[in-house]
Amino acid sequence: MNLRNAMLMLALVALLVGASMVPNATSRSTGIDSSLSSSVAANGCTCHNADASSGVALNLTAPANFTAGETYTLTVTMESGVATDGENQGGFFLSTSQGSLASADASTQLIDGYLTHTAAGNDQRSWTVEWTAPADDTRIADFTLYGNSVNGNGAPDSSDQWNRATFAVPGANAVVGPEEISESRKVLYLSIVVIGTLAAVVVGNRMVSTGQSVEQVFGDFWGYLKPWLTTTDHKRIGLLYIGTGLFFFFIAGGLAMLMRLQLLEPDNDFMTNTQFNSTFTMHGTTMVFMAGMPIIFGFANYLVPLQIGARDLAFPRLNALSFWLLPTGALVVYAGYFAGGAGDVGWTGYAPYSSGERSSSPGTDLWVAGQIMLGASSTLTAINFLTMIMRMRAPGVTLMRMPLFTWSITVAVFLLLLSIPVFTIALILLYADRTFGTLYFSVEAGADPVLWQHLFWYFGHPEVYVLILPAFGVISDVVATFARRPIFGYTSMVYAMVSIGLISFIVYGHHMFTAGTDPLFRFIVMLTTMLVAVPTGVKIFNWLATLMGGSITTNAAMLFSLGAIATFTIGGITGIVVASIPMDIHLHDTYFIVAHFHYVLIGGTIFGFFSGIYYWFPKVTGRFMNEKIGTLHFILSFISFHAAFYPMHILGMMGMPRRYATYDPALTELNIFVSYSAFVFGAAQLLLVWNILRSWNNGEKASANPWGGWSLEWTTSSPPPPNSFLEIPTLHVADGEDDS
Amino acid sequence: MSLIGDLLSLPIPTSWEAFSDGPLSLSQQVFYWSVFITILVFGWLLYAIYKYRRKEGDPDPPDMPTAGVFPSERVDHTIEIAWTIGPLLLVCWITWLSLAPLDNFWDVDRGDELTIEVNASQWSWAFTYPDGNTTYGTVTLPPDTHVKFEMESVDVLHAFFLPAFGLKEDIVPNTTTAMWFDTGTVDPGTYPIYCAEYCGDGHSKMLGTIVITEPAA
Repeated sequence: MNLRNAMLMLALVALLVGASMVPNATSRSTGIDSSLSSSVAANGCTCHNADASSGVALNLTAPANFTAGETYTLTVTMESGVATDGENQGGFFLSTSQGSLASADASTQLIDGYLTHTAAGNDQRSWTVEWTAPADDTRIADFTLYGNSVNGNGAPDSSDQWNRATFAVPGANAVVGPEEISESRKVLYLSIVVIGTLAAVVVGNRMVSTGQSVEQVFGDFWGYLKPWLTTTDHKRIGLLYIGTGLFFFFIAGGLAMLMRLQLLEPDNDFMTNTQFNSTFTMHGTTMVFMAGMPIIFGFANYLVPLQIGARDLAFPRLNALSFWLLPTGALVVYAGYFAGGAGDVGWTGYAPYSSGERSSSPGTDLWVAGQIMLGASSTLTAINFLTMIMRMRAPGVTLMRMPLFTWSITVAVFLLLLSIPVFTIALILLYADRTFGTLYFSVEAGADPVLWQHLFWYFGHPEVYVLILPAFGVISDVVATFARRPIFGYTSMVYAMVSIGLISFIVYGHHMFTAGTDPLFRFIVMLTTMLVAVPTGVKIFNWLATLMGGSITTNAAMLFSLGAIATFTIGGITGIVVASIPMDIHLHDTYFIVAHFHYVLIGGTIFGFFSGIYYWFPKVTGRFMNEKIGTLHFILSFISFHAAFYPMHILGMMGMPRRYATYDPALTELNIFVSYSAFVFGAAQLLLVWNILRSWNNGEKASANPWGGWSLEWTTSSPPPPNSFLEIPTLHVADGEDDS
Repeated sequence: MSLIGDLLSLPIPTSWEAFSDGPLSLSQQVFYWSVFITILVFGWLLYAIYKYRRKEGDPDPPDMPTAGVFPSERVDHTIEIAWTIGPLLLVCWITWLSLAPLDNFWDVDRGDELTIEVNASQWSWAFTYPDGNTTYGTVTLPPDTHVKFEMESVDVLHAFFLPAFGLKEDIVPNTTTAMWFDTGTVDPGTYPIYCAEYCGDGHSKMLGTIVITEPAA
């Protein structure tokens, strides 16, 4: 052979080898080699087609269960609509969690424990393989199979179709376990077990210690429970409301602790983004609708009839319905956790995110449904209170002689009646969008993208005054009582509350300064929002003036009220800061806003009602709460509250957005400080629970009017008799000019 | 920065510089009045608690309320009118100061030299330059240029937030919103972009970068 022929031969061989390698390199006709196996096992045959296709049917013939150590012959089959000319039809990938796979003929090969086709085996769509079962027949062998049906053009393109299938073959003695259960279900089952065990212990203990039969013990418990479940008495319903509200205060507080755990470090993996989103949604929703409002309406239920000298609300049975809609609505909202993830739309539920397929978590449907129930509850409550306050006041209790707490509830329920039906209707439209396919909030169909914001904030802004005004009422009563002087400027206090209530309907656009709304609209709401500061300032100055010339006792009730005045002042000032449009453009949706409304809602509402708990506890139980624990509760709460929330102003100015599960690493130190302060604040609240529990039966005895208050609830006994007053009282006037 | 330094700091974004210059500017006025009112209320509160604290054997004030009797009203119309008019004038003054800087934020013709189209979607940013090029996640702007962002969303609400500059505008589906920015007011460098309106699972990760290039030497 001369050199020329040799060169020709060499070139020919090179050409043949090259030609045969082209399909190899691109289509894996020789099987899936080890460099690709982990990608295939995780994602599938994504070189061919990004997604699996349901048109490809895969099957694995395997025994129903296996005997230890035995070798079985398995057949992999694939049916697909992808047509070929008979060559290069497809390939497969099979792996197992137990035992060992082996190749049975030349069409398959074993690489790193998994089986795949060979070059010879890629002209078929059925393969026979061998599998040796493990020695332990209590195990379950899980097979993962990928089958790829190709069109034979030699290129891995999207006209090829593939699919994935899994098969489980249990051993002869394997116990087939239940399906994997979610974390939230585990919590539910654990609580059922714990509560069941505790109940059994309590019942058993009672049976042993009193020698009663099981029927007698349950009869006793039922005799105790039944009055609570069937009551229409405003005092019992009030306590049910407060109990439910405090319960949810601690649930939502726990959620806040989880958020602060997540924010202990940037990019923390404590929670997934989805879990974090659900957590802040449930925290906000719970605090506003299931903790704040129930605590307020619990106090209102208990106290307003007593303060105006009525025996009960106007419609007691309706009142019971209002209450029972609360735990049921709350149950519906929280059922989201067991339906595959709680609602994740934020407490504001902004459409279009909440309206369609975008927030597809079933928890969001339940969030909407539960909120509709809570809205109905609030509407009924508002009607009930307005009717009672307008029609059922005792002799001498004219409108301008009602205690300021009753006045605050009057304004609050008026706001509720005018605002919450709008929210409820918006929720019903949203529910229809999500469930029946209507298009009220569907931007794809041309709906107004900010319609929801207008509807929500028309309700949402009066709602925050519903939360804060009753706290003003509590503070007014408490400050006057413990200064031992009448409130300064009673008439201006009433007008201030009424004007705050009226203005609240024309300020809501300040939540939408960056939403692209009309500049004139934004200017008008900036002005009206600023005006809120005027009556609010009048209230703060009146409280301070009330203290002058008094004889001030600083017990736990008074400390919480004074602390609320101080904290609320800061919250009010930051309210003016964010009302200024140029500043709000930066601060909107940052932690500055989070700081602002927590100063108002914890510093104002929650501190105010803690004060109310210490103040009216002797009226409700006939016993004082422990002052030492109460003072400690105040000091710890006040300091840790400011330590937790003041730095959020700074974080907001530095640009940390709210509703983020992470943050810029430069903000780590401040966030850690905030988190630990929040943990202290959360833990300090347990002092309140302990104080209530220990004082309920063992506190020091209190008289009918232990603090020296003037309003009518102090004229009846502590605790009040079942129908509140032995005879309907008359309110007299200090100046002696009784006109009743 | 240390923790104490952070707690005492008052970090101000670039856009506030337009109304932070001098003691009569908006941000300074808001700061002074906030401090003044806080000191006034806290001071008065602490003074009253100390001065009028109840001591052993103190007599009750003569107008101390009794149960079942509506107390006679304590009132002083002069001082009440004073602390109604005073805050009213103050908030009108703050509102007045808040108006002028709005020219920096709102739709006014400022001879935009560069228009960038911003396309927001769950959960990414796309920027289209006048020459038709599109970049994802990062927008690069020349120095000393009036830039107009024209913003659209393909799915839900988002908000284009430049925390270092204090600029923010919602991005609303079915609508084009706009935001203006003069790159001459900031130093060249790399700054973050956040989505500030909650938009679902990836909201916390809907981040971007804005790069202001160095001026040509």
